[in-house]
Amino acid sequence: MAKPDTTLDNSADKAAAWKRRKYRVASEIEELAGAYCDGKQDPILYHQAIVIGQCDLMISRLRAQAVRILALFADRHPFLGSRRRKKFKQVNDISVGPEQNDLVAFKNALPHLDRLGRLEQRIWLRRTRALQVFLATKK
Amino acid sequence: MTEAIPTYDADTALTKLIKLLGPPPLLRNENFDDFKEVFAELFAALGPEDFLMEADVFYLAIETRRIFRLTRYEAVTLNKLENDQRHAWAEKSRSTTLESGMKQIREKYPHAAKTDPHYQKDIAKLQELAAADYETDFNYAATDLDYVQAFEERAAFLEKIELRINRALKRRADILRQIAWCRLGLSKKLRKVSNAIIEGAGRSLGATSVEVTLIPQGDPNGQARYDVG
Repeated sequence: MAKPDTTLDNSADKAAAWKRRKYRVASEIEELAGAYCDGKQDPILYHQAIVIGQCDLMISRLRAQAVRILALFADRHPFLGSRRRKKFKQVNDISVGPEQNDLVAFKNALPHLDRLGRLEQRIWLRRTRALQVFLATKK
Repeated sequence: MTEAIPTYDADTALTKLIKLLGPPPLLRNENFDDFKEVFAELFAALGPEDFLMEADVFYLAIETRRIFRLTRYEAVTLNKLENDQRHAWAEKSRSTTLESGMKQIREKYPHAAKTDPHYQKDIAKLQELAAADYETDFNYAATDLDYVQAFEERAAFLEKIELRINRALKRRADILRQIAWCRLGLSKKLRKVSNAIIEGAGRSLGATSVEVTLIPQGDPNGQARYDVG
């Protein structure tokens, strides 16, 4: 009895599995897409919802990163100068109250924030386009 | 007195949105409760009807907070520079008073030693006068002109902040437009549903309809017959 040739099947299975893995969507995005679709099963709608979810997640990550950069710069450059100058600044500087002001950190972190802002803008536009298609399909 | 906004729905929606979209980007000196309040106000004003609109309201609150933050930075920058300038001016005035006073004291006591009690008394008086001058100059109320000067000096930085504020405002307008699209889509959908109901339920009845008899059936003599019992 001839042994059945399973090589082809196996490779096909592997390719399909690889494809599934490659295009696998994070559970958070799936959850978001599900919430956007609100139980509707339309594949076009779902695809657009996936795109919107991806954009949402990336925007959220970028914003968190911007906050992290600001916190980092606020820690790195608290106050420059001598202790006396620092004390004088703390007493007379109206920007420093009970809560620390992040203006200096913001100034120093501007180039980094710009880069993140550009990226965020691009993702925001992609989200807007996806949302337009989503709403047009939903109608 | 303003009415308290019911925040139960807004709180529930915010919890769900934070779970799905992550926490709002707040700095260390910003309070989450303030963000919550802004979100609740916007939620009450816009009344989102589905998750898409709720997410838009969330983004709207984030952009609003960002605009607040940037505007605060602008104000702090101007105030700080004006404060620095005022301090420099007061310091200059103090040193001028001290310089001229010392000159007069030296003329008054040309051969006195530094330990001379009269000389020391005059020096103490002069220092008090200089301190009072400093305080007067430092505590004067700032005028518009002072801020204009500060604005000129920090124009480059303020321009950068303005650029960001404009970007945030544009994004805010985008979000509001998206909410309007959502509303439009929803209203079209609702109109379709209501039209179907109206068209399905309302139909004209013919005069010879068998379902509804307009004239009660009578006997051949023309007498109306009513079934009693």
